[in-house]
Amino acid sequence: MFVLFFLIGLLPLLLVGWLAVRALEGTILILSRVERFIYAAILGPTVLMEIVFLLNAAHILRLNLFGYLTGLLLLIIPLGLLELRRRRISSESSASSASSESSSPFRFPKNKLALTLLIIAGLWFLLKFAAGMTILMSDPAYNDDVFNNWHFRAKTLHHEEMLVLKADNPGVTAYPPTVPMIKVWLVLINGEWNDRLAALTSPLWYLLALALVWCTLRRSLGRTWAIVGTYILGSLPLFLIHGSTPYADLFVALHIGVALLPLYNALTSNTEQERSVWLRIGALGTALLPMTKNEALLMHFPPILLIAAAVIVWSLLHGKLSLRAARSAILHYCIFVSAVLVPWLTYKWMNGLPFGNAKGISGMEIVWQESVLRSLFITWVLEANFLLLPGLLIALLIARYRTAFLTPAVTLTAFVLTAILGISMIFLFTGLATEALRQTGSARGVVQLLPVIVILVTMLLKDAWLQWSSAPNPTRGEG
Amino acid sequence: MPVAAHAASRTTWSFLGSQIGSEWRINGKAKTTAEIGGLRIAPEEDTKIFRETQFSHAVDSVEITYLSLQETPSMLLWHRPATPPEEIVQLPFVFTRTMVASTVKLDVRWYKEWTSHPDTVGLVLPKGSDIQILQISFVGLSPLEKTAALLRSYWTFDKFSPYSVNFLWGPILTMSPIARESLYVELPPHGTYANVLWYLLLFGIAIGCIAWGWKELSRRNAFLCMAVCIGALWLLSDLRMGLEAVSYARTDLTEYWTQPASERKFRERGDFPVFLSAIQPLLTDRGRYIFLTQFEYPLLGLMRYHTYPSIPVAPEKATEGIDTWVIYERPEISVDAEGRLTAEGKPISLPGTVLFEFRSGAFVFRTH
Repeated sequence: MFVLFFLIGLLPLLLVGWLAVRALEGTILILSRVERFIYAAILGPTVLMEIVFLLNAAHILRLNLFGYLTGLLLLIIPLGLLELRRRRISSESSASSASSESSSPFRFPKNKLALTLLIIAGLWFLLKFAAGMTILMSDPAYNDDVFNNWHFRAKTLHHEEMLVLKADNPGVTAYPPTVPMIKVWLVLINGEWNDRLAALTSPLWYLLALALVWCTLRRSLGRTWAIVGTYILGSLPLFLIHGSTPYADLFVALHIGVALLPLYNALTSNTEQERSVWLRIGALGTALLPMTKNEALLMHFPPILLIAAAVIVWSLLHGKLSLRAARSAILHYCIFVSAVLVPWLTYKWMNGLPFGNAKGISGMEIVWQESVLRSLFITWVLEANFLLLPGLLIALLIARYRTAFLTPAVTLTAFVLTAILGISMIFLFTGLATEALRQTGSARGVVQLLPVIVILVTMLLKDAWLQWSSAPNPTRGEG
Repeated sequence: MPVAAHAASRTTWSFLGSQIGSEWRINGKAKTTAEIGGLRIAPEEDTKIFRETQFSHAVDSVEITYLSLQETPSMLLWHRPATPPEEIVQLPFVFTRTMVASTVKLDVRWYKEWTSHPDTVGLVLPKGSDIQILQISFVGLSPLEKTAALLRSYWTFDKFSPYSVNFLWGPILTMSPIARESLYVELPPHGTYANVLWYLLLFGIAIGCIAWGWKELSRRNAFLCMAVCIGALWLLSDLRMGLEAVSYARTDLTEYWTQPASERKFRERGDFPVFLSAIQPLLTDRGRYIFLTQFEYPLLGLMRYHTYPSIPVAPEKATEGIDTWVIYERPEISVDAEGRLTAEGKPISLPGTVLFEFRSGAFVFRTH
């Protein structure tokens, strides 16, 4: 029964996200239906929680059903009106919206061997996913960060109906409240607290991450490589574990995706209008990123903002964006980022909440930490957390450096390298080294990057495949 | 190949039937008795018992069969040939309490200080211990046994644990059957990450492929060879880790989901979830309660989460009108004749009644 309430609770969040993405698209509908659904499912909940957070932090509304419904109406009414207006305009001008709905349905391959392999891979995935769900449903509150943080905060917010600040544990309460607030909404629909219902967000995020990778690769590389990339992500053991644990690292991963991937798409788009739409979507994704976890603000938000700036400047210099379009993109970034970040930072500052991942970052000493490099190597490369992905990434970055650094894929390469460098530096030079030595945070940091890493690796794989598999064969040699 | 070539080599020193060779030496004051059931040693001070030896085969593990009425920390000691005589290596281990003959197996090959042919071997027993040694065996494994252990170790799975959300050990390769048996029990696991082998293999293949594909004509085949190798290892690794995830779920299904509520065991937390769900209704209206356990982490956090808005507090708060006590895994706490909770005989609460008893040392108590 709780699954039904979970699904019912999701619908309004999806609607908010769908309307928001539609509004960002304007009259040029460049996303396929599936893409729009995925972006909506990622952005919608966070947009709503941002509004509810603002209303609650300002002591206007409580975190109860009325508060959430008010937030919903505040979003759905204006966005719905925008959508109605857009529909009226597009029906009047019968604009080229049909051509942009490039949502060709998924077709099964006709080749019997390919079909068999696909079915086996699908069944194997379902078996693993079922195993993950069994682990999750056995006791959703099994892990420390669930019963001490994510679910406990959600339960507290649900009970208090207000944002609660714990002076004795500021590290945890300093996290953005988005994830607990999403759980509170779902629980409100259910009527009472339910551990298993609140935990269902993780498998949802897991499936959304796979779908996001699928859509991005489908758009840029085609169906075959989309299958390869989605399989790669679905095969990563620690990613599956996070799809079965109510932590928030997949939530961060999704938001990194919707902040960064539009920048790649903007560079590969054919028209200025399409580029502008992707930049608007990227602006919203980037703005919402700091509301996921503290490290997103410090580690992921700055490089993505820099990459966005670089994309806009490059497009402007190469005539891909007019000055007007570039100004509009910058304006969107400024408005969205300010609208989210200013209240959040003010709230943190007013309540003395620290930055950093559960531990404050002020006053940290910069000292080389012994043994951390070895520990990171073990966690990232030798353990089975990511199978052979780290080695493959490094090998492909070296072998296909031109594609990695001199094509639109550089947006992903730059982010991945900056993020990994940033994580490494924090562990190698600060007191957070204990998290790497005890392996409590180092692999999870990479989990947040996995969808982007997998997309990058798949792009480079295809590039290598096209380059080398078409090389002459001795049996069919030239000459 | 003769069967003997596949079998383990084993040297056994038996103490059964009151047989103790004159080669044994004892350093320290200890009461030793050669009994029909083995050598009984009761040291009055820390005692070393050792002998010189010359093994005819390489030694990979040591197995000691014993009886002990109490848990006894001990040490295996050995001397490596060609090192100064005073340079004795000591390996701590524990004789667990056992009423029937048990064997402690030591994977000595794991330690770099070990030599396959030590010239002196012995034990250190602490003052106050009382242990009966039946026999000591030194086992050398055949290549076939090592290969079998290696293959089985790859398919040996970890259990789902609190650390699994942070990292997964993944397949660990070991050629020792003893290490394989205790993989993921003794942490870090004794063995080599399978990924080390795979990366070395891929590196070698890559070098080969680069050399092969240097001439443009064979570049395509070289690349395909590399791609197939990576793909095969990826699929193998996915299969291995996927089956580990399935094994996690199977354990939960067999030990938790399919068991009657009263017999459920949940991962390393045993029956705590059963206890928790039974006592929750007694706590929801209390606001605050006292929770005493020997496993404060993670149980205190779990209690706080599951019983919220009722929260557990320290026993010092009992004076603030808190009337409900939850006791879990504290066998020394009981109710005395006057109805008070007592810890090791000392009263710690006002008189009251036991509302719910799960078992000895696990109950809910409420003061009058």
